[in-house]
Amino acid sequence: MRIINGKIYFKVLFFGTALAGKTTSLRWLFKHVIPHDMKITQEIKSIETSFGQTLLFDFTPIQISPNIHVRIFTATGQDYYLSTRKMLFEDVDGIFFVIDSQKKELEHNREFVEEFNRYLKNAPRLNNAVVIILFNKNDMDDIHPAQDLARMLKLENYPAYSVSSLLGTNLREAFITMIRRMLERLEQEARP
Amino acid sequence: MANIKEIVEGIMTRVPEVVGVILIDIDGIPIEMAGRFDMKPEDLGALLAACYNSYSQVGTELGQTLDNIIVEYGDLKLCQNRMPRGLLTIIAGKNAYIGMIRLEAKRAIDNLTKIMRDTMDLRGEMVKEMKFRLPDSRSIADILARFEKDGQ
Repeated sequence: MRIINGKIYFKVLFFGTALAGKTTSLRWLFKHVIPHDMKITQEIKSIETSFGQTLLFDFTPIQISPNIHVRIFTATGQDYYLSTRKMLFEDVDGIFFVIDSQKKELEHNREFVEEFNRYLKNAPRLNNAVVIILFNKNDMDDIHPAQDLARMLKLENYPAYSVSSLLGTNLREAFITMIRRMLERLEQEARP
Repeated sequence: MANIKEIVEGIMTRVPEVVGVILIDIDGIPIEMAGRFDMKPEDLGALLAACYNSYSQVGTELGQTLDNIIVEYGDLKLCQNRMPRGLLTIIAGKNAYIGMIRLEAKRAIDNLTKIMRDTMDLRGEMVKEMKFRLPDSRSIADILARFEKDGQ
């Protein structure tokens, strides 16, 4: 959280393997969930590779109340962009950890869980962030059920949703939970 | 002593050819700006922070620290300078003298550093002092209710 010019800025990050559905989730939320008057910009700013994948990040800022902004980023999922991904974790308040539920992606997901745990270990402030797991692609065949994946990846301690970023299933609920928890933390922090 | 706005605007008036100055938090949040930009400050701030951090990472890999970035576009020059927890970016016409811009940036950063406090230090203090109208349970519910409807 940052406080600048009398306004509070939350930072929310979508993190997960390449093609897990981070950008698709953000686009669905931007189109269907975030009210027009909360949008500071009318489109998501993306820095993409020549073949359309996220190079640095996608970004959209929203204003949820007169003095509270939420800046939403997606981190690139490609392994070779690890260094650019790391910088997005600075001062993050909320993390949507997007898991590709397809069975063939299990090992890749494990690598990202390890990377995520490394960030938690090296940046203790990250432990204060709200983390929500999105088990994505529940509309596809040949996937692990969310509960099984949570156990296999040792992510049972986080709130989780089985989602489809393509269809929007449960994304609204996950987003509302994220905003609620961040606001509740802010309220608790301010309580005397 | 001049305030942040005056320092930023002062660069515009003192250096010929400067068309814009933007001061952002290290994460890209716009703090102050002068001049006219064709894009939203939030987007510009995020892009500038990403550029700087990317070059900074390249420097780290090369065992170097990054002092500033100078970019030459067709009709514009852009000079990005690091300061404690922030970045000062000066945009000028192609005929501007980079040396003058760098000198002015250095002076401005010295002054800005003196008057800017790390927002992280301010955070607890400001929240506790209730300088903000923080959301209570009822207003949190009002905010969340806005997301229940279709955003279209």
